[in-house]
Amino acid sequence: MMNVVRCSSENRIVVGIGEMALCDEENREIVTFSLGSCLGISIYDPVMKVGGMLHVLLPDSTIQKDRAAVNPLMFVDTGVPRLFRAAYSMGAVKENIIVKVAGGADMRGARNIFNIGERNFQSLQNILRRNNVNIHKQEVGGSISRTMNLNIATGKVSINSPGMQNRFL
Amino acid sequence: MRETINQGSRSNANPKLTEQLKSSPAILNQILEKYRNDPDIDEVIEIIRLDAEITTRILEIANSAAFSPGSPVTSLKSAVSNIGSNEIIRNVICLAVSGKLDRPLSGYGMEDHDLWRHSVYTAYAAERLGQICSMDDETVQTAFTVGLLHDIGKVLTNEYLKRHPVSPLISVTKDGADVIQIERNNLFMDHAQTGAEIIRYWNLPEIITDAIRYHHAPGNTQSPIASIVHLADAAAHISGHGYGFSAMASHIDQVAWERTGFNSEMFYLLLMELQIMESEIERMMGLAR
Ligand SMILES: [Fe+2]
Ligand SMILES: [Fe+2]
Repeated sequence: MMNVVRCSSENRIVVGIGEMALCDEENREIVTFSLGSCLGISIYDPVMKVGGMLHVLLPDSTIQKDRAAVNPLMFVDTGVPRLFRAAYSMGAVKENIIVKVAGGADMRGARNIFNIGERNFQSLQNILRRNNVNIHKQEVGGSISRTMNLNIATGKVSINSPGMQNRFL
Repeated sequence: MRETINQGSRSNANPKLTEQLKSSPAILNQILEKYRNDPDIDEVIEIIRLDAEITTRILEIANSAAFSPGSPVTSLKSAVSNIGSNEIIRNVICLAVSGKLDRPLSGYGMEDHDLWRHSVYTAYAAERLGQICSMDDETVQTAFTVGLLHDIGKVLTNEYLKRHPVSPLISVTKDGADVIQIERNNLFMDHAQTGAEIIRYWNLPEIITDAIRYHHAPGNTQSPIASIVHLADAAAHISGHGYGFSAMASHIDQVAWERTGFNSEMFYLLLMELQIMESEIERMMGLAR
């Protein structure tokens, strides 16, 4: 599968834009840097200790079908199902999965077209609702950039932003 | 309010740095002139040759894995034919200014290379945006240069901000203050004006200074370059290449939208292309260090 990083030799697995990573080895963490309007979506099965993270850029793949075919992980609607399926294939169970979300910031005066952060989050809510999945914790919106970190051993998700205290979701 | 970086403004908190920024990178004017006038490759080589350091870096680039030369590239002429003249010129422009822009700005919460990365992203975004809007070559090339230099004023305004941290610069809410407004309230001058004041000393074409001055207020100039760079800057912020405190706390001006004829589909396309170009952009950034 494309852009999937399974556990590598590094302790820290870095997820770029339009990428996802899955891991079931407890001494590792998955991190994604500088989420602006993008969303970082972290899923974790505490029983199976399988975790995954996806970094999506845009809400809707139908805007650019060609690109979506090249990299479905760039979009909420095509990326999220792939994240869940990859976790299931590693043994995660839907009922156990804890979903945490960060990012989705927007610039000021950003009407419609530019309100990409808000639209990303709406698109995520829609697709999760349709599949009866809840978001457990989130820190979305505002005008800050965020780095998201998932600890595979504990399932703890931490967020940090320049000049702010680290916080756990 | 007519203040310059030499008098009055609080952004002149470090006179030595001000002098350093005001000194124009010699090669830049020459290479930009060539860039504008359909470059003759031998002339480009002549210009590069005069700068020993940039010549060395260009040869390193030509020999790097990205261009995987069959045999070692030892002359500028073969470097240019391997890499292509436009790409070489972009490289030279980046190399010429990286020393001024590749610095951490603690007053803005920007770490090592953050400003530089943001600048290079904005330059590439501005170039692509100009092309997508079918602007002429000269406009596209100028947009690249302005994209690269647009936030140079922050290097000076940072000198004040790091001594007098401004708390509203960090905001989790959407209604927190705008970075430009905070600068004006506290420094009596914003980074766009400050940047234009610096670049004035470089004797670059007025269109460049003008677009830097208005990159946060593109409605105040007739030139489309400010609008292109305004949207390119937004694209960099939206895709996470803004960095620092309140990375996204600036306004997008509707005027930029109208002036460029850019629409949402084009904007999404631009964001995706930037993501696809990421490795090329990172390479450019890294090599200029
Ligand atoms: Fe700016
Ligand atoms: Fe900027």
